Amino acid sequence: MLDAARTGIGIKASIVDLEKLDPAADEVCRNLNTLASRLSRGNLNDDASKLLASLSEIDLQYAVLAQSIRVEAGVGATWNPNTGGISSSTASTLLQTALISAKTGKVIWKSEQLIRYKAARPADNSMGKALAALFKDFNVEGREAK
Amino acid sequence: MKLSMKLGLLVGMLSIGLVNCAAKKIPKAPPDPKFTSIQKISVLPILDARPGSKAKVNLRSLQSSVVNTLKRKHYPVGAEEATSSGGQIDVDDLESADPGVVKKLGPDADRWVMIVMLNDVHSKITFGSTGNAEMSGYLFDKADGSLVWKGKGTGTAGQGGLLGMTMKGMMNSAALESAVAALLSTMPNLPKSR
Repeated sequence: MLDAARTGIGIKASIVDLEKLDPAADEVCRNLNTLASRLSRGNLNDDASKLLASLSEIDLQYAVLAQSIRVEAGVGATWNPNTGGISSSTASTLLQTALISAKTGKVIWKSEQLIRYKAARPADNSMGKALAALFKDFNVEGREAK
Repeated sequence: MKLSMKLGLLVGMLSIGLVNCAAKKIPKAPPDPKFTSIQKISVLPILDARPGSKAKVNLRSLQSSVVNTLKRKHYPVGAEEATSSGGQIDVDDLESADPGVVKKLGPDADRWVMIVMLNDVHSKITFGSTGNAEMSGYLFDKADGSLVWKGKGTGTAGQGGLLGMTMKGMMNSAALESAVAALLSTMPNLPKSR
């Protein structure tokens, strides 16, 4: 997902790796990591808001890109030859991502892609397509993201 | 002589089978006191947690379906109009039974609150038509902020052939009904009179 983010974001924003952050910002981001699934839905609680505020104290231009993936391995498709009853697989893969401004604590951009009927693997075509679609409309023009 | 021996053997085997069946019958365990002590479950409006584009679903009717299923399990139950007295509810808050969030769920006077999320519902045409629905639910005791029960239910519906293709419009509702039943299947049935 990180590679997809790099490709999708391209030159629209500069991405800073966690390893290259100064120690204070790195610590805040590691704490934010525990809230990643919530943040990737663009949903902030008090803890997240406080952490983002402390990140903005380090640099007002910071924005946090949170990503999550949820894979559900459900039952496969079925067919009952006696009744004619059929069913589709209940497996699914959900990709969610959100870019949140540290300064305002508001969601700058968010996106999600659901792959139905499949617990997608990283090498699957459907995963590649979904990741590309996830960042298709990424745009931070005129907004305070770094 | 042979016939009577065979008959005798058959009767003997049948009686052994019946004795085994009787011996295997396990007496029903009484429901957990945390369920029997419930005086009224307030079912909050269904939370629409579906990602992506959303098919039209009657969430009020879905809430009624949850209420009716709980009634059939002999729970005193009522439907509420409002979900929370403030703030956005996230699935992480429900999973971790965040006391700050649990306290705000439903009306202040209600003690047992159930919140049900619609995670997905979808139908498609294939060699017929199919429908899938997924729901999750949480029951909290606001007195101590504890999570009494949580469950997840997946419902599927489908019919093959040309006839099945014409039934696509019915698949979402059939899958949702099935998902509600699956979701609440882990809530124990209470005795009729308590």
